[in-house]
Amino acid sequence: MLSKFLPKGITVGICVMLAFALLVIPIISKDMLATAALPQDAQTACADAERQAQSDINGTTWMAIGCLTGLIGYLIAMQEPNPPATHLLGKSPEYVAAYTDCYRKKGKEIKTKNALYGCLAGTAAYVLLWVIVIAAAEEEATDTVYYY
Amino acid sequence: MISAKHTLIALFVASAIFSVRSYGQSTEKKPVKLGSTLLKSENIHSLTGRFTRIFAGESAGDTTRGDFFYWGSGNMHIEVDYPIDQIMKIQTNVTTIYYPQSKIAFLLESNNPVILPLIPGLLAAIRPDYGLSDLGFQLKRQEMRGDTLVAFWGAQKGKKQVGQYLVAELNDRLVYTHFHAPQLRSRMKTFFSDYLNVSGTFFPTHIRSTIVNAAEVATEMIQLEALQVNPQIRHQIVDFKLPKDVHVEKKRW
Repeated sequence: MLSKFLPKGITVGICVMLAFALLVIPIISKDMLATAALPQDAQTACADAERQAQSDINGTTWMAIGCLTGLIGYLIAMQEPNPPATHLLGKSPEYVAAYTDCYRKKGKEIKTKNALYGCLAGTAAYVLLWVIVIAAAEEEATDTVYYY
Repeated sequence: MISAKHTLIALFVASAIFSVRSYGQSTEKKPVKLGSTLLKSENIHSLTGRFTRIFAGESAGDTTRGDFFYWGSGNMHIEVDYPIDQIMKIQTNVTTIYYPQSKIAFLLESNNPVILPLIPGLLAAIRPDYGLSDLGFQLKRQEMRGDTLVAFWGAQKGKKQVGQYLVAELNDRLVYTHFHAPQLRSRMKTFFSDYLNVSGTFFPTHIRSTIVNAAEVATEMIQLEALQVNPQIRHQIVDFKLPKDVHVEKKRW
């Protein structure tokens, strides 16, 4: 139906973006969540880092970014956040290694997850808008009577 | 007459422009280096001392002791001796963490300047504006409550409202701050006490903070001793380099 009103390139672009958002992104996110089995000190570090990342990063902001900027927002969210150095003071090497990794992963997860939700919500809103416009245009075409 | 196709193209272009504009406006707040500004304004070129940091969260707590060395342009060197021997050196965007006993080191690089441990709270207490101007705040109003001057600080004109600061001062000394950021679901109360005259400047030697956020409630207590203003910092610290036989792991924050 879309191809009737839109150039073929735009229609293909929309389909590719939707397919990416619905299929590929969740797989990447799930993969990023996977954490290998960690020793005790590293497990504590990971829990601390995840708690800190949750506190430092505002998910709502990233959802709004995803919603407004779509796929671009999702890609921005893939960039990594910066934890404060205080949390690594007096900690063991195992703790430092695990903390930095887990903070980065959790930060990225929070950002990407929320940006993805925003991206999907934004895409759904665009599609809905277009469906409404197309339906209105079809109705207009059906109702039009030409007099010669 | 404008066709449906033209309407859709116009909508697509408008949404693309809106997206680009929104992207430009939606940047995260970058951490601000409080210390470098203070060094300029207070004629303090370096600061050293011994610290004890006690942190108690909901799930765990720990105590850390060591010596700190702070000098111009946000450089910091910390030598922890309890519970583990650790050297942490921060130079703007690079943090080096070295374990002399195990000969392991981490080189952590970040895009933004690292938030320094210990220093921001300590130095804020001796600035006339508590360092809040640099953080994008301005004085909104102040009032006397008994013998205590209470000031309210909010966002500067044209800057995004991140939260509000309540600052209490007794006998010209900062005694209490309360930061509340509803958007971040975060609240932080800090008490400053046991002021000590070090070369003509009064520093708080006991700083106790309670942090309440979405994730947990935590308390941090910092006790400072042997503070020195403008001491000569030995070159082994200023020019600290990792020994050659150390295993270095590079990471990006």
